[in-house]
Amino acid sequence: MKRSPQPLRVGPALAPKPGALHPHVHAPRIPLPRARLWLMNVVLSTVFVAIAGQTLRLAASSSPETRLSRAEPLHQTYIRPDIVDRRGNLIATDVNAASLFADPAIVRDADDAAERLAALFPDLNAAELRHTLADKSRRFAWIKRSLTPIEAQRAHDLGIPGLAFRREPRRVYPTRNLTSYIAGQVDIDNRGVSGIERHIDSIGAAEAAASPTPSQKPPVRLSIDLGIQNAVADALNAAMEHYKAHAAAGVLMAVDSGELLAAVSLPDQDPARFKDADEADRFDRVTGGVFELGSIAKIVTLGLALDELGATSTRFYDTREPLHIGRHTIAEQHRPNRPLTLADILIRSSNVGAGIIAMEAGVARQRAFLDRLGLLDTIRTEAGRVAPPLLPSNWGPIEGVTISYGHGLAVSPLQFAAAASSLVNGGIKVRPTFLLQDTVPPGEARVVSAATSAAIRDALRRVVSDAHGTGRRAEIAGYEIGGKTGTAEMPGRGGYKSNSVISSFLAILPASAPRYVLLVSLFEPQGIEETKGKTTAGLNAAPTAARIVERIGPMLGLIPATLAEAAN
Amino acid sequence: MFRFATVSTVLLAVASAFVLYAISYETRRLELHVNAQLRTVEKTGLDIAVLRAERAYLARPDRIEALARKIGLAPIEPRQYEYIPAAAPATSKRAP
Repeated sequence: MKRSPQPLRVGPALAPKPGALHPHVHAPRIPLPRARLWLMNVVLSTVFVAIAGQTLRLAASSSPETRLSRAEPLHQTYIRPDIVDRRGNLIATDVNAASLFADPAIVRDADDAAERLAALFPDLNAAELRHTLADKSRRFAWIKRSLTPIEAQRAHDLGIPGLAFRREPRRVYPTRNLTSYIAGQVDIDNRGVSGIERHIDSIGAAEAAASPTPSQKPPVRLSIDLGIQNAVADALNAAMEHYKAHAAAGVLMAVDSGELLAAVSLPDQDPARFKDADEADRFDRVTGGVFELGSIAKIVTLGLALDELGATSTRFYDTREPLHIGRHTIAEQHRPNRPLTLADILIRSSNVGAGIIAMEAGVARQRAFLDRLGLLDTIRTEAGRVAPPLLPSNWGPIEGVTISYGHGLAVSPLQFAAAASSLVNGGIKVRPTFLLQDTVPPGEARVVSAATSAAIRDALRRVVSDAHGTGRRAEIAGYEIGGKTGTAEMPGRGGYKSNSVISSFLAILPASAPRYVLLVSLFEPQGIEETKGKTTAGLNAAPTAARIVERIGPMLGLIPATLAEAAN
Repeated sequence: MFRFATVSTVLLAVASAFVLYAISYETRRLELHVNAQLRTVEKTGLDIAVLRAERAYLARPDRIEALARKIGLAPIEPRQYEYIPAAAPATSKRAP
């Protein structure tokens, strides 16, 4: 407010003397003292300043931070998008959990508080807790993070002053064991450390957040189908029990896109108790381990003969005599009394036949062929690195021969399933993926000719349909299954253990135009009455694969062949 | 004149202060209301997350399978498929 109380119309001649206001109007009145004028000015100024101040405050503080802020360290948690299966069923999501912290400055009796907290949470160290709570200089200390609602209630009921809760996102896996190896793990700050969870962090979908609000990011959609995953797990569980196996693995892969519809490794783990599990029991046999898979590798040897050596399925190989390489002798279990055709080598699973092919090809060509199929690479999926193949230190002729029938080269079931997919899908290399592919990715490269692929499919079908085929127990009326058995002795101390085997079956379905490859492996099955004490894959892995196909056929929309024929 | 101006200015100042106080009070009340609503939204969002997780837990395939088997359902078998020509999609053949 300006100090210009003089009226404007007053001429200079009539200008009031200082100290007298409006002498021409209020001449008779006592002039206001200067002090009163000042006082008025001050009062009005104060009022207007107050008004202006209030206006400014209202304008500036449209969203005031009214919440009580505690003295606490800068701390971040992460919110993550959901993980769903290919049909949108939930596999992992964030929920809100209470985390308990203390303000040691206002904890009155640190000893008593530490004792009572340690009694409630046995995993807390009472001495350490006492030390933390007694440190009056601190204003913030975590006691225990991610409590269950019941734990939080109990901690609240202790009524210890200076304890409080903070809400944090916590990752939960409603499907529990079923997808634990694929989904992976998160750490205490909700950051991915393994599996798809780590992939989510690597693509930047996990965001640091101050409050545990659900993520607005679209869910990560896996190629896995929970229904199929469950059917495979269920059938493998039943097989493990029936054949008294220690472990089992199953992979179902779409041959064109490389999508994994199921990847099961048993025994599996509840993600919530992953850390408590035995080291040996939390091992994903599908991607985390390499194994010599035995005779299923003859599919690759068949491809080698057809594609590299220009053989046809009907070419004869004399497998009557055992194969001598240096001081090693390779003989058949059942010695044939006539030469076998190339297809017969697969159908009857002839080691000698496979060995002859390997010797004919030579080490360099065999190695190049396996490399082309991707069997020698270290591969990755979104769920992390796949255990790299274990190659022989010295790949000579004898190693070449043993590799031809599945010994001497150890690969993960996932990597083998991908190579088999490439062989039967028309010859295009596929890259295994755990994420749903909207479109079939363009084929990377041709690995074998379409004719070779067709011949392999035909031979695989005959392994199951032929009266002498090793896989005839995988036959189910209706579904046109093709496949190959493989029984591999497990390496142990001082050589192979003949009584411990990995018996596997690699199935393609339907055989004439495969859409899926299924690889089933049973680890150390025992001989039972039904198998007459034997542990060969044709007697345990093949029927297990058949049980699985029977279950998942309708889910995959595979129409029984008999029905398809009737319709035509 | 001066007195009138002074008095009216004072009155205006008092009136403005009163109005501003009222507005401020109302604003604070509305902000509390908004905050309460935001908390409700946040809490509801979190409740939805928990319910979705619970629903997924209850709908996990192994549990549904056990329940389905209990009421006599089982996975379909190949022999249960039947080809019914009449139900097949219509071809170009038409009744005269």
